[in-house]
Amino acid sequence: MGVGPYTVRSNVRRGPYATITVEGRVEPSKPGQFYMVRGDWGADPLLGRPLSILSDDPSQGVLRFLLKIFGEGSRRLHELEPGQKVHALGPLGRPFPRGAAERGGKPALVGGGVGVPPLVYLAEAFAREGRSFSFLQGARTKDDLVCLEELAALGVQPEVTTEDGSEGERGLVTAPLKRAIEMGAPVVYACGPEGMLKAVAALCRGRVPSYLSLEARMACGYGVCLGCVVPVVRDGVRSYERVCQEGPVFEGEVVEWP
Amino acid sequence: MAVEMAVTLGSLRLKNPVMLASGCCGYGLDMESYLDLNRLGGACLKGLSVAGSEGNPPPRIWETQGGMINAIGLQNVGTRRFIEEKAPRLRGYDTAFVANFYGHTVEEYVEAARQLDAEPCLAALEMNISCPNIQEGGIHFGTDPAMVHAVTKACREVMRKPLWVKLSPNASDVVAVARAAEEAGADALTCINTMPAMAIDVERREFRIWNKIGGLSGPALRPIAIRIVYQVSRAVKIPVVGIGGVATANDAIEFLLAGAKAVQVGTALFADPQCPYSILDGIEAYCERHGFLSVEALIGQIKDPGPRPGCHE
Repeated sequence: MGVGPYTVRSNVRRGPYATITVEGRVEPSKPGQFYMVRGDWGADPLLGRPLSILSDDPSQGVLRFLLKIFGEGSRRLHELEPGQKVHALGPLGRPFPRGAAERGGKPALVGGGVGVPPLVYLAEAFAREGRSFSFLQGARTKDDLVCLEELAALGVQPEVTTEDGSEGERGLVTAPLKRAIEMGAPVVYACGPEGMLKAVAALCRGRVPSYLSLEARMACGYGVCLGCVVPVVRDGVRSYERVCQEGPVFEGEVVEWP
Repeated sequence: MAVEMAVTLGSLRLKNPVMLASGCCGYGLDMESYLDLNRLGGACLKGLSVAGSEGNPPPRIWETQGGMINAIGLQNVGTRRFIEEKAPRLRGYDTAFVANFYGHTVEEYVEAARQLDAEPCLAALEMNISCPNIQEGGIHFGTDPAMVHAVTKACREVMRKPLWVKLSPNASDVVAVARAAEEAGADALTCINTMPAMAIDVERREFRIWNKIGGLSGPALRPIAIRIVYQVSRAVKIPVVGIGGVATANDAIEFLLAGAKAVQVGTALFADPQCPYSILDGIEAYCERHGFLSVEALIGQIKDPGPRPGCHE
């Protein structure tokens, strides 16, 4: 378990997005896992921010994240400059389960906004194993399409949908996802805004297993604060589970949406 | 020069004055990947009730300037499951585990205290009195000296282990509450619990937290906690344990100088689960630098100029 410190190697900003590469002692991780990241700025902001791993390389001691400005914590991370120190605790959480992808057919990877990075990481793993898959990215507008260079480097052609039609197919990502399911996708992996995940879960229900990586406000990221829970229903029993520990990846069937 | 780090709180000896705070370290086991619990003075475990609780719906937390508000809803597995499933794994440690407990009636407090008192892995029990008393119209126990006296006395009578009472800052006269707990037989006082607080999303005109009101913790709380530790430690003879925004060695030393015999680290663990190590190292270095042979020698050693207006002691 890495607890930092790490040093910023580069921070590539594009609008509210930033791709941050840090260096330090990096433990092996799996797609879907995350780190709690904070700058070396004392007590305010106090807490780390959960960031999904975009890619890592333990042998080179390198970790990469994509973030978007939502509030003060992410704004401060967005401002980080090369050479600055950051604290990163991880890798944390349970990764995307891979069993269902063994059944043949092309798994569908569905991402939106800052939900795209863990799927790029999963795509990298699938590509390395020579497994074929489809990659769907949905966004409000073309400026919110992310990780296109990383996908190109993997030789992945994402199917793009934008709500305003400024790039790719006009509409929601559920349209190409419906086609992917009809084409026999054995499993769907998704991460993105709540509305997207809710729609993906509804589309997959009863048809195909879905694994959704959820986002939540977290204080600790490692299971002790109980701040990040979501309601889930398993075998008819409702309970709260921690996004940081039992998640962030949940079966679409068990999540109870607000 | 080796600094003696051990401190004694009544009959209980801690190997050093740094503990983990209740609600911030689970049942201790959750910290195993990050911290060697045996290096700490102790750990106060997640608050337990007889019936357990599934906790509040989300959102449960909101970060504020220098702190955070939480309304977890006291989610816990209940005393019986704690004793059956968690406690056996705590028995091998050489550190002081303190079970935090609560109830909504005096009877619930007493039953929790009775059950936990029989668990050998626990060094002491810490009573959370920042809970509504459903028999008294939901008034929080901790705001009223008479209720604190009653619940402390009732628990003390069924227990053998040391009983700590964790005071709420949300009382009009914290010193009166502290004296009531002492008179009813408390062995130590933990100062302080979180401060009731609220935050609003102005764009959506919504509460940030499902429960509307949560507890403020973190560095923002520390000056209030220091003041209460100072006042309470001068008003009672039993030891005081300081808590509220301890993140660095300096924070911990501030509490010790104000009169706390030990400190608990809470919210700071969320940002850095290993911060207790640097706090311990810093306390030791401070003692060396200032010629204190022991942590005990440092406690309450603020240079006090005597009474001041408005600073009733």
